[in-house]
Amino acid sequence: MRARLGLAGPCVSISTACTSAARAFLDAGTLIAAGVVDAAVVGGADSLCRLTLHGFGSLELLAKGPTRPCAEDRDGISIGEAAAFALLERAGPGDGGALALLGAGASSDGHHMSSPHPDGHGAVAAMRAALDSAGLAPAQIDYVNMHGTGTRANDAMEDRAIARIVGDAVPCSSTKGWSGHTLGASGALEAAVAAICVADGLVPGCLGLDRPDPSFTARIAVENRTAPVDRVLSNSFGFGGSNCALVIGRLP
Amino acid sequence: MTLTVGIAGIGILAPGLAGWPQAAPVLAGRAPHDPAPLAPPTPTLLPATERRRTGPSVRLALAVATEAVQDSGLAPEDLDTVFASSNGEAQVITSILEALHTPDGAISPTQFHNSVHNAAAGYWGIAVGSSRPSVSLGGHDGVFATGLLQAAAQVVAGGHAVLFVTHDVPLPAPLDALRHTTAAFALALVLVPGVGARGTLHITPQAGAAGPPALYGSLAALHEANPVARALPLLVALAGGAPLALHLPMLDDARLHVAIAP
Repeated sequence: MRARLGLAGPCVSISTACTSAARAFLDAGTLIAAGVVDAAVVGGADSLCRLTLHGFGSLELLAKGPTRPCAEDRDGISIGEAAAFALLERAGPGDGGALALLGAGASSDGHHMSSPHPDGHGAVAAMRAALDSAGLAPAQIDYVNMHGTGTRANDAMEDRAIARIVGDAVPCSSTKGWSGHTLGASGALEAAVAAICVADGLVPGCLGLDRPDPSFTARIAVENRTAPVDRVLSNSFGFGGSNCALVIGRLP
Repeated sequence: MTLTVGIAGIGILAPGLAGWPQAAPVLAGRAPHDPAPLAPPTPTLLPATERRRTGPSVRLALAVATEAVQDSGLAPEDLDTVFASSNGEAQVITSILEALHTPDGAISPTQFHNSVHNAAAGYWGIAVGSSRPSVSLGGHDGVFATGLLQAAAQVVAGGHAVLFVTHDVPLPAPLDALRHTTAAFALALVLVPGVGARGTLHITPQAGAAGPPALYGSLAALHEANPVARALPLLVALAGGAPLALHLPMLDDARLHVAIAP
């Protein structure tokens, strides 16, 4: 990527399982904040391969049909493929109203290598850190793009974690019904989805969902609808207990 | 742009370099270097069930991280972490690739979750009960410099201590033919804002390749035997106790300039 685009400067290849591309936004933001670089190309790409297909199969996490995140009878992930990249640069005085990475936060579960902490402590910590970094209160978030893989454990954990941050006040959904779980690329793909939601005033629903799991307490969006969206909280969680949340929105 | 960070603690495990108290006089040339192969220690920090699932790269990482944090006197669960490894846990990947090559292609779920590049970081979080942020990165032969730059940027931008752990072990056959790594090497540094008890680094990314290191004998051989051993010139300077500036390799056309005040 660096050679193809003719870039100079440092090149950091981040590999934190399914938070990799979200972490790329966070870590590029750190390099910009520390003054190491003025701008960075960030993103992620992942393709279908036997390793991930058989790996998720071995954990019995593959859905039998298309994945249905947040459904009561959800039964796992559909592996997707994607590449998504963005150019981040230091915000300047004339950038009011522009699309931006407003904040980013991360945490570790310190619990298990492939199962999230059931109460979502790590997810809560990452979302809180992202909001703190953006200087925003939970009520200022207009939409939460969930990690929402469609597995029993992830979606239940994430519902509890989101409810602890925003209660049932903010619409939430997973867009992995459309894209599948694009693994290492998902953080960047969903950052792009978040940017589209802000630019177009869109709250996406969960594809293939008639009604959310009745045990959930967060406000799960079922249908697509138009609404003003100024700030999106986008979650990514991965093996090794890696958690990362981004806030994408318009600069004040 | 120059990043200034202190070193509050060091942990090291490599052939003939078993912990900083033993390694420092060897690196300073005051004691002989006996580069005997090392056995990655059992990670006693982990519960027994998790312990037996760890491979040699993860074990090295946990060992040096433990030493560096103890040396710093800081609480392990309070430290953000940056893990850097070029080869990852190649034993796990090799085993998975062999299984995928069989007719049914069935692989072990434990091996699959251990195949992620952030496995060492995940086990560290479990071992010390940390919920602090953690990032894992690669970087081929520039993995040490790339990780050091990212960790230092995190210290400067966040104003708090970061545990930087970098670790690599030789690959099993047949991958060893494609990636020449003949010795194990792991290093951990606890980096803090300002100056540190173990020295202070002024780090500047620059254009251009790094020249050959000023190392001799068995240390020069070790430098070529493992990507993480590209840290040796910096460690020699820290052990020697005299200020020094040097270049660390990052990419074919990029390097780190590091001014060291021991």
